[in-house]
Amino acid sequence: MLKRKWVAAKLFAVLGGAGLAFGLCVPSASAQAPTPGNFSNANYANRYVCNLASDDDFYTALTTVFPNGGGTFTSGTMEAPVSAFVAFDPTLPPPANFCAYSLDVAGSSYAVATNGTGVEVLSWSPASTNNPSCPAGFLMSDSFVMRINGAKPSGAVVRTETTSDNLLGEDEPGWGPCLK
Amino acid sequence: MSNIKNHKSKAIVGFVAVALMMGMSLPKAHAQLSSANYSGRYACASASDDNFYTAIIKYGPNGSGAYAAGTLIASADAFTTFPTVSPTGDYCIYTLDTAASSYSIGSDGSGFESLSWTSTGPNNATLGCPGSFVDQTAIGLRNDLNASGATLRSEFTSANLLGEDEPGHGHCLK
Repeated sequence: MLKRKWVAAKLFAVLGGAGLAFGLCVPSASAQAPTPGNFSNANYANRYVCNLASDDDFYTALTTVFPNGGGTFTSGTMEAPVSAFVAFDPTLPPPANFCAYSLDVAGSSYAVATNGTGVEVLSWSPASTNNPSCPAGFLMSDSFVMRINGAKPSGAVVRTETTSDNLLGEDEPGWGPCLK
Repeated sequence: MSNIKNHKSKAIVGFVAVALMMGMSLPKAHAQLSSANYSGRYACASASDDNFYTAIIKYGPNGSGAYAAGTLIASADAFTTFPTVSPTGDYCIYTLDTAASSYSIGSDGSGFESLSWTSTGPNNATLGCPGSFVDQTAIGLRNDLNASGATLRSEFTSANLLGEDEPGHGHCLK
């Protein structure tokens, strides 16, 4: 009887080890897959690349943001072409022809409503190496709506659609998608 | 002795339960991306200056920071009155100078491209198309990869499409 228990425990240990390995390899199940009416901050998590534009698409920017699933961000970057502010110089390497910003995570946050819409406030700090013609740091806000289809097993959505206020501090309405 | 075995088995069961819970709840690390994830053929749509300048691009990043080939085709309406040559001939055409072009992708999937486009269209001069030009982009790879590890889509913002010194943006699809 005891021997059976011991064998069963060993078998369980093997299965547990496999389960642990499996758990380490598959996406976390900490957030629910989104369905209409049960969205939350947890569905906006990890990395998104956003392609934003404002003022008839005159101002453009590419952002990479890392929402943490809990209403704040772990990091973020933005690159915007300098040609909106000063002449493009083809003799310079690419980073010198873009205005770079990093996300001030302490001053940034987001909130997702149960219907899948959300708001975020993003505080962007300029890189010290920016061309002097680049805008200074700025605060922008976005309203976004989450897509349901294609959500990751972790519950993170794969795409949001965004409308923005104040991209690059230019006080112009803008828009764009964010993709996982 | 049997008591000890019984305790051991309980301890194993407890450990396994904890391990299983840890495995299911541990946050997963972000996938690390690199230039290797940008490879093969991509079809891109690009626009700048309030979408006044538009172009399509077909190009082939080689997975290690260079390109195998590339073609850019832009509507000539930005430079002349349609139709000038013919309805199918009113396009400015450029070929990627692969020796003078490059890209880099950081571990977070963002990076830069420098694209040197050579004017090669037979009607470019007649249409008043811009001459050869260098464009640069800030690019971000989507973390949605095919079986070979190549991203299915990138997003970019550009600084000098068609040499017009105007900000632009677009995307590239596998």
